[in-house]
Amino acid sequence: MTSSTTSSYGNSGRDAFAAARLLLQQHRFDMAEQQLRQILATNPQDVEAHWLLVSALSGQEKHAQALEVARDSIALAPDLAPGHYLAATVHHALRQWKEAERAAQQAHELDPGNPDYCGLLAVLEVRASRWKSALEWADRGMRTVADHPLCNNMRAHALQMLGRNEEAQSSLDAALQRTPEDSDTHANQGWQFLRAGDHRQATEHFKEALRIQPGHEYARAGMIESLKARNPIYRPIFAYFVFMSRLSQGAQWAMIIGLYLLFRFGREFLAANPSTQMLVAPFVMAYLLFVLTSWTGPTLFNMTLWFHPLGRHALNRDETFASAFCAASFGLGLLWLALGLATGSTMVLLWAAFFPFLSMPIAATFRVATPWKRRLGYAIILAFALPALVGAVATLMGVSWGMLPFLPLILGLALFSWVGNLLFRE
Amino acid sequence: MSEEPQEIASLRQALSLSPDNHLLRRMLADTLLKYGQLQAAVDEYRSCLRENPEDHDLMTALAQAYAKLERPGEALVILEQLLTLESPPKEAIQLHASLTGQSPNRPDPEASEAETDDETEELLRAVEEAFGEPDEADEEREAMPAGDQPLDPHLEVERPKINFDSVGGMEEVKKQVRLKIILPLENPDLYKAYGKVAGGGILMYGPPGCGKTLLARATAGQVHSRFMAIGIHEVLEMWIGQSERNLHALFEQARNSKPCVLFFDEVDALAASRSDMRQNAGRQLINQFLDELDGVRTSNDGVLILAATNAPWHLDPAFRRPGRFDRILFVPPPDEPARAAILNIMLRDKPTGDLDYKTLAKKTDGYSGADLKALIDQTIERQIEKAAESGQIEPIRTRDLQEVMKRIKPSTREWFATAKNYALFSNQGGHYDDILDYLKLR
Repeated sequence: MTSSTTSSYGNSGRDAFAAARLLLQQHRFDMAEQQLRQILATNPQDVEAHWLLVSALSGQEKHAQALEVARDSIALAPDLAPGHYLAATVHHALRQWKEAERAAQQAHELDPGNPDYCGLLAVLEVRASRWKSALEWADRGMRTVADHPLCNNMRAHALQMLGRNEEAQSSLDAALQRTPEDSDTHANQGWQFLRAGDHRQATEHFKEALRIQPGHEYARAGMIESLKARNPIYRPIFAYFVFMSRLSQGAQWAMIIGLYLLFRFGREFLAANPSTQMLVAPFVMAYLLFVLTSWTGPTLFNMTLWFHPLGRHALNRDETFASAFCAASFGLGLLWLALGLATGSTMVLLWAAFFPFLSMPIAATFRVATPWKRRLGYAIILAFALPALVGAVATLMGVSWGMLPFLPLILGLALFSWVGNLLFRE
Repeated sequence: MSEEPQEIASLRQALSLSPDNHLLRRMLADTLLKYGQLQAAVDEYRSCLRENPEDHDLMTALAQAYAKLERPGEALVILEQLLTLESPPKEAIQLHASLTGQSPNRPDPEASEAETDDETEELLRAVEEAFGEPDEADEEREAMPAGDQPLDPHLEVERPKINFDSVGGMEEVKKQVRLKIILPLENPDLYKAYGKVAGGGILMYGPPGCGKTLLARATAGQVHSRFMAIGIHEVLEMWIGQSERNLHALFEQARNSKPCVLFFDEVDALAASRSDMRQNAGRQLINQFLDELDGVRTSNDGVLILAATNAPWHLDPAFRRPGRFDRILFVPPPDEPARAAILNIMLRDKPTGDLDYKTLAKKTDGYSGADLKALIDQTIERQIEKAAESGQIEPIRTRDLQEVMKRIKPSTREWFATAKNYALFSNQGGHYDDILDYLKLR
């Protein structure tokens, strides 16, 4: 698709627009862009050409340019909703949630009946785990167009998260009946089954969604989870995440802090009573294991897909890398455990216990896409891994300063387990 | 300007006294041309040529007159004859270039049949044509005799002069084309004996810039048939005009020009999935295309339908049914020997130092033909810059190419990233097994 559009449809008029629309429809975004730029060269004030150009640029993932054009279109016609809506979609693609919400609200105020705008607002609310509000937006959109696919999907999603499974299911059933070839609906149905614990049915729906649209990210992620869920050890971990994802962000924090306080209180309680003192160590270990799993469980279990015929291809590069690095940190732990047992050195054993926790920043880093967060993550991983490796080797060789980095690293990890939660969230 | 008729008049007078004076007639023709009396000039040149049919300067002048008369077809017929010469007149080359909108210094393909040297030139041209300069395809096009001109002058019919020998590498694909296209055409009885019918369409797919169009043209050349190429622009016009009749006219034109290869480039634009185009009233066009492929109203005997696409997954499944595009060929990026051959051809006649084609081919894994062309172009630009600084010709060396290589990402990677997903998740009927094999995923 490298050929240039030497427009034979003129630079304005219906044919020029028809050509641009057709090119957009056929996903020939580069040619659509050329066509639209030609139209704009003759009619720089044409708002509609601006709108279409935003889509053409977004289709090529030129988000920064798309945003600029969307802003231009708003400047040209501030009281027309599509410009605001398009700006919102670009902000959404750029993960600028607040700006996206503001622009989508603006579009909705200018044209309250448009279900696309309600749908986008529902998407944004779902992302922020505000299920009730998401449901309201989806319902509002469906009052105008009863079978609006996006609104319907967001409605089903919100209902699931609110625990209203039957309503969610009937919503999806209706959608699948109307549009059996809709990848979004299949993906949603897959997640519905997965959350309900039926990973076999879930896999089938994810397969179907991916058959229809192989690049479907939500279905791909679901496919990975559904394949991992075949593993009985992973199922409770997944259930924990489902439970947490249903909570609002505030409730999630309350949960994390509550568990931590419970741990502190429990430890004090056990330590205070001589008959239960022996339980302190297992209790602390259980808590640490829980914290570790909550950070790295999904990433680590991606390893189980390495040899699965479909699973290994469903994993993307980041996921494969992350699981390999996590596996490596656990591997180092095991190695040092063996060395510690062989040498009988408690200090070597301490390092053995430390290494698996390296997987926390690793898993967190590879989960985020925002470039600066990713870079920060790499820096954090190195800041933990390098001193740990040097210290652990030095300890093994009996060098006196070998344990020097240990305490700072432990404190650093404790800090990371809180700050990282804030930082590596998208 | 008052001299104008005077000059012509005196020449005419002189000529009437000695009508056989070739030189005089020539002068008259030149003068007529100079003063813009084009038709008269053409007449005089033609009568000169009757006397001296081999006079190349005369032929060039006649071509110039035709060009000025805005009859490029006739000009091109003459020019192409001139370009078969060992040393065609400079003016002829320039005029040919300006008419076809390309750079001069290309000899005519016909000469290549006789001379090995020109054969490689031709290969170079064919490669370039396929890999990046689509407009150059025009060079191949011949003006048809007036009687053969179809009613709908929508599309030019060309007679490709390239064949499989002009296509570097791609041995596996060529073998497939021979087996699936050429053999059935040449031995229809053999196929009939096994209950197979010759005909139907062939769909080629693969990453962009890897020679699908070249292969289609070479196939037409190989079976000595005419060639009609329908590109994205023609298709867009059909959509915009909502004119199914145009499509019918194209098919009719091909049927009238048989044997003919009818080639649809970027066929997904025309055969788009009907569910994708749900909102477009032009769905009729897709149905019309299906009808034409089936040859419902008129038989497609003698018409071979080829199509190419970068996005076979956007094709409506109905197009894959028997008798339509039931044979599907994967055209992969050039392999290592093919890349070495392409680079070798592209760097011919350029100032080169020591070049290690093997290393270059190895390091250009994943490059399409178009990428290789970009590599050469950018390297040459750099060398020109260097030469301008140093004041002497800087030969192209392996190192220079390797430096530029760092800046050119293989464009096929992105395609394969998408294709892989389709091959893994959407491979019903094993349509994309070739991709899985190529990526070694099976």
